[in-house]
Amino acid sequence: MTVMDHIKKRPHVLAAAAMLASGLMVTAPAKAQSETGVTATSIKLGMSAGITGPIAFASRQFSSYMQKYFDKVNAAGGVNGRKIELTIIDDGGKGDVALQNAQRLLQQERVFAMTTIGTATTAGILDYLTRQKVPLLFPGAYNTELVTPTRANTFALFQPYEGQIAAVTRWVYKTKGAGSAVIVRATPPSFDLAAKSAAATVEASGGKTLATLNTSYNQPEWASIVIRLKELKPDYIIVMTTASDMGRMWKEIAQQGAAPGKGIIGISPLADQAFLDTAGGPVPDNMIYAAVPATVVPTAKEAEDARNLSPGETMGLFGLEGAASAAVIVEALRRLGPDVTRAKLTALLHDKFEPFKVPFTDTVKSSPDHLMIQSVGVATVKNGSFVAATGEFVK
Amino acid sequence: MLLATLAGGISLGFLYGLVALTLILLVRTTGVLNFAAAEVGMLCAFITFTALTQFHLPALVAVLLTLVFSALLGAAVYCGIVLIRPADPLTLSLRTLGLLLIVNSVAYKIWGANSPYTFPNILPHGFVTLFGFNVGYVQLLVIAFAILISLAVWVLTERTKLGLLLRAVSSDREAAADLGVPVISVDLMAWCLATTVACCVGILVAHLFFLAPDMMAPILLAGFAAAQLGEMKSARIALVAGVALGIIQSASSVYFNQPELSQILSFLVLTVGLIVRGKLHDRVVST
Repeated sequence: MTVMDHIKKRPHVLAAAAMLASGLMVTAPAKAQSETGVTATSIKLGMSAGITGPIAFASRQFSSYMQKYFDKVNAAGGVNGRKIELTIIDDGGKGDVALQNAQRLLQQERVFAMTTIGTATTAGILDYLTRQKVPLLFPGAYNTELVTPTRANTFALFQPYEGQIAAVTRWVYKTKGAGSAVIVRATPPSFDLAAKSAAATVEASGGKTLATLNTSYNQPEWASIVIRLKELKPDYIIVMTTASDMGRMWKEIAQQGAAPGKGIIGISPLADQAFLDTAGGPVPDNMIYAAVPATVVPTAKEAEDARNLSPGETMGLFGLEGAASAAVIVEALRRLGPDVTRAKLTALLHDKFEPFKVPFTDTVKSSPDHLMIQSVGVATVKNGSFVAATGEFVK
Repeated sequence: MLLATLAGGISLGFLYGLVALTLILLVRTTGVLNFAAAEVGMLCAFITFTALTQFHLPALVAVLLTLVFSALLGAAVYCGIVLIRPADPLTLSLRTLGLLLIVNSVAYKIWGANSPYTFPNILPHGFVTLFGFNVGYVQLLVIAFAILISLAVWVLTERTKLGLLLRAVSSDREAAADLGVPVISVDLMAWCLATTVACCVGILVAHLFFLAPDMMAPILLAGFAAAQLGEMKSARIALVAGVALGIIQSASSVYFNQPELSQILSFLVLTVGLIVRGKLHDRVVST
C-alpha cells in the first residue's frame, strides 16, 4: 500500500497535515519578524499599579513620574528610534486584581515587559511572570521574593524591606547610640522578614527589642498602640507600614506626648511626603530616620531633573523611584541597540550591565541576585521637610 | 495603662454609639434599617473636604452647605428608593444596600485615587488629660455630640408632636394615614434628619481619623452591633453598648496585640449581648 493509498483511505489525515503545515507557515515568519510588544517604532511596556486603594498615593506618584520620564525620552526621539508606550492598569492594591491585569497586559496588550508598584500586589504576579518568562523590570516594590531566590526574568532596583530596615537601623545605632526599641508593624506577611531583620539588627547593634506591636493597614485609631509605647518608653520606635499610617501614628504620639527618646526609624514609606501630610503638626528635627532605597531624597539638589518632570507637583519618594526605574529601563533598552528581545534584555541585565548612574541614584550594575542597587540613603526631617541625614549611601 | 486604655476606649466607643444612633433614628421613625447611613456620612465628609480644599470656603460655610446638601440628599434618597415604589421596611432596607454600593462606587470613582486624605483641621486643636490619656477636643466633641443626639432622639420621639406622628407612622402607616397623619411629609422629615446626622458623623470620623471611601466600614460594623444591642430602639442602650465595645476593642488591641481581633470582637459582643438579653427577656416574661 502506497502513501497515497493511505491518504485516500483517511482523507482527514491529509486535512490535518495541511492545517499543521499552514499553521507552521503562518507562525514561522511571524517569529522572525519581531519580539512581542516591539515594533519598528515602539516598545510596549505594561504596569499594574494600585492607583486606588491603600497605596494610591505611592502608586500614582511612581506611575506618573515613570510615564513623564518616558514622555520626555519619547519627545527627544525615543530609544534607538522607538517610542516607549506604557500601559498602566489599576489593581486597587489587590494581588488578585494585579494578576488579572498582568494576564490582560500579556495576552491582550501583548507588552514586551512589565513593571509594577506595590509590594503586596507584586507578590501576586511574580510567579505568573516567571512562568511566562516575561521581564519584570525594577518594580516599586520591596519584596524579598523579587531577589530570593533569583528569578531569571526579574530585576529589582530597590532593596527589600528587611535590607532597608537593617541598613538604616545599623546606621542610626552607630550614629546616635544603641538603645531599646519597639517594633510597630502592619500585619501583612510582607513585613515578617523585615520585623525579624529589625529585631536582629537591634540586638547585633547592642540594643534590645522591648516588644513588637501589630497594626493593620489604614488603621483608624492609634491610641491603643501609643498607650503601649507610652508604657514601654523605648529609645527608638522602628516602624513598618504605609506612609499615611505612620503619619497618623506620629499624630497620636504627639497628642499623647509619647515621642521616643532617640528617634523613629522606618522603611522607605516613612520618607514619603504622605507621612508629613498626614502627621498634621510639626515633626521635630532629627526625630525621623527613614530608608531611601537606591535614590537620594526627593528634595535633594541631585533630584532636580526628576522634580522638573512635573514642576507644579510636590514629588514624593515614590515619584523619584518611578523616575529612577524609568531611567534604568531606558538605559537598558538603549544598550540593547536595535535588536530588542526579551532574551537579550535579561542576558544584559543578568551580568553585562556595566555601572550606570543618574544624578539621583546610587550606581546601578548587574548583580548575581538581580538586585541592581544594594544600598540605601537615609532621610530625616528638618524644618518640616525631608533632607538627607547623610551624604553617603549605606549598606 | 489600664485607665488610659479605658479613656481611649470610651472616646472610641462614643463614636460607635453615634453611628448606632444614626441607624436607630431611621428605624424608630420609619422602620427602615439604612445600611447606607455611614456611606452617606462618608460622601458628605468628601463634599465638605472638596468645599474646603477646592473652593477654599470658610469652615463654617463649608459645613453648613454640606448639612443643607445632606438634608436634600435625604429627600432625594427618600423619593428615589421609597416614594417611587413603596414597599415594606425589609424591602426598603435591602434597597439601601444598593444605595450603599452606589455611594461607595461613586466616592471611589471621584476621590479613590488619592485616598486616604487628611481632613483639614477645622476644629480647635488641643486636649484634656484623663487618667494619663490625652483626649483631643475632637474626641470630646464626638462624646458631647453623641450624648446630644441621643437626648434629641429621645425628646423628639417621646416628647414632641412630631415624635408622636413619627411613631404613629412607624407603627401602622395605613392607620396613621386614615387618621389624617401626613405620612409622606413625616417620612420625608425622618429621612432628611437621619442623613443630616449621618453627615455630622461622617465629618467627625474624617476629622478624627482620615478621609477615604472605605473609612466607615469598621465603624459601621461596631455601630451596627451597638444598635442591635439597643434592639434598634433604645438610643441610651446603644450608646452604652457602643462605649462598651470601644473599651473592649481598645483593651484587646492593647493587651492581645491583634488588630484583626477587634472586628471579631464586635460580632462576639453582639452575639453574647443578644443571648443575655434574650435570657433576661424570658425571665421577665416568666415572672
